[in-house]
Amino acid sequence: MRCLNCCDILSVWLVNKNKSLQRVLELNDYNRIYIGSYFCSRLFLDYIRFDKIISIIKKLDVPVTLVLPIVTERDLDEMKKRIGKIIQSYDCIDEITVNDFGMAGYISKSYPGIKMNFGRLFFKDQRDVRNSDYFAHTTTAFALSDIEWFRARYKVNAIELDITNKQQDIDKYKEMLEIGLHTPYTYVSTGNICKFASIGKDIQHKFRPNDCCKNECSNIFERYQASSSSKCPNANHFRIGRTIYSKMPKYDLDGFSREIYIPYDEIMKAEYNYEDSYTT
Amino acid sequence: MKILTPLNNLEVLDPYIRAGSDEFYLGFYDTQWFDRFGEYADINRMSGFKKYANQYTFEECITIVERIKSLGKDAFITLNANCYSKEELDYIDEHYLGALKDVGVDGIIVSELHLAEVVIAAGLVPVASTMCGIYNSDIAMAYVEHGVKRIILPRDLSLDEIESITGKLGEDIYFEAFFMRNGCSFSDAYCLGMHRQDCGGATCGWLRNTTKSIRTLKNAGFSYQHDVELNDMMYEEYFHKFSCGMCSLYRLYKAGINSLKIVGRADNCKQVCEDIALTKSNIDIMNQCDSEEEYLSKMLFPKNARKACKLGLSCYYPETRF
Repeated sequence: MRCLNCCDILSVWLVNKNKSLQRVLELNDYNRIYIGSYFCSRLFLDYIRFDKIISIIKKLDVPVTLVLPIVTERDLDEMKKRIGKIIQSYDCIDEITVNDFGMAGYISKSYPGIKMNFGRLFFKDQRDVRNSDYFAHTTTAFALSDIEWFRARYKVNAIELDITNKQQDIDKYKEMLEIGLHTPYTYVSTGNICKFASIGKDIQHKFRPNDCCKNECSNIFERYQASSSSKCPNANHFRIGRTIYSKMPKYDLDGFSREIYIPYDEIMKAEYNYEDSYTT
Repeated sequence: MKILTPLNNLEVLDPYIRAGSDEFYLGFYDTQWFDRFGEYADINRMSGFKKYANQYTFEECITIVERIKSLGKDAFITLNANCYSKEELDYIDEHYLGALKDVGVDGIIVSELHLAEVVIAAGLVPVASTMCGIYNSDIAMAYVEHGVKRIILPRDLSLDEIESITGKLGEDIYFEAFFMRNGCSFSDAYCLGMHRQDCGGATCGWLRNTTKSIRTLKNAGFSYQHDVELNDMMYEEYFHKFSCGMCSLYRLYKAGINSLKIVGRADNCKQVCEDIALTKSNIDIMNQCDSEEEYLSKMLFPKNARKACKLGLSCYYPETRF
């Protein structure tokens, strides 16, 4: 199943009629769309217009997964109210992806009829494009080796992994549940302190956790490139919003029931006049 | 309030205790673990830094715990790697937990819920590490429902949020908060790049020293460009170069924080000792104060305050002063 990840900043761009993103939607055949956020409660609560996104997506007649970020304490109650409104309003949403045990418990109890996925933030296998030796190993995600523990406690519909190695061995587990792979960007690091949210703020008020913002991340990203003399000259990282991503050189979709594709390359090329020249 | 200190060198145990430390946490290395699971299989969060951060074997660690206990202090062992496979959890249970229980270790600092259950089943006390990402009261409650009674709150929470979480969970739960040294621009729980010298160190430090291009959509002119570049400079050159929560001590105490965590198992021991002594002095001052304002007027500042106390960029909880 090919899924389009329209989460995080893409959820904002979709509504802002980003032409590149609309072209991605129109030209490609996706079986499912993901909306919401993995990484930023500010985006989810303050900037993503679910009514407008749904009106755009409904024309495609595909099911929708709602993705919930981890929220800090101050946003917990508001997040629960927002989830309630979204679920009540849009019947095209047939799944929720959660990213922490607190929300897993809340969704299990409050919305037992809706399918619940465990999102990428649950699964913390190391990933580091700087270490080509580690990347070359075939591995099994640690979470998969422990999947029975999760299934004994939660009704898990699907899980979502990031590319950590060239090959990830999921043979033993693919019959147990759906396993999705986020491509082509792996998240490496994230947190509640957003560098971009502090643009324009007085110095003494910069870099506060989960701070209010003006959605600066819609207009800016950073690319980090290792020098040619470093041990890992091909290592590349991107800061998009709160999150550091890395584009992994290769990945193998064998066995994964879902590819959750994020069209950053198409957007960056069209909107920022930038093209990633990474080659394997 | 207790002072919780990292220990990676037995020689500093006595000086740290004299300075005022009440509790210690330490990790270990085990060559048999790496033989079994491979060189990239972390035992704890600092395994990638090898003996620089984990100087002692498991057996030596047991001896150190005995010594800590004989001096009337508490000892905690870190088993807080990003995650563990089922086989690794079984190995931990079979090879480590029994001996740790026998020596009377006060807790195991864990990074995941399943390991917490394994620790409890072994008759030990799990401490939910910052690696668990306990950012709200629901997540905290999920851990409490699985038997966890001691929680380390993440660095990137505000004081208001800490007060709310501790208030909702109540006095039966023991809370630790980050207090001195080693701030982080990312979330411990979700920073999954390798912490290894042969990779160039942790992701945050590596990014700081890597060529970067900033791409913007906006063509808003000089003023916007200036803001972007100033922001970048503040973040890369000043933010969390030092990290200190000293001004927030009173508020943390009122919030029900039981232990103050001084970070830095691989840090300079003399500096850590100074931080312990300063924390102890300020706890004593705070105990004589009737209000936060009184504490803020009487507290002692770190030696490097002129440099470190810059516009909140070194504060764990900047809202106290800024």
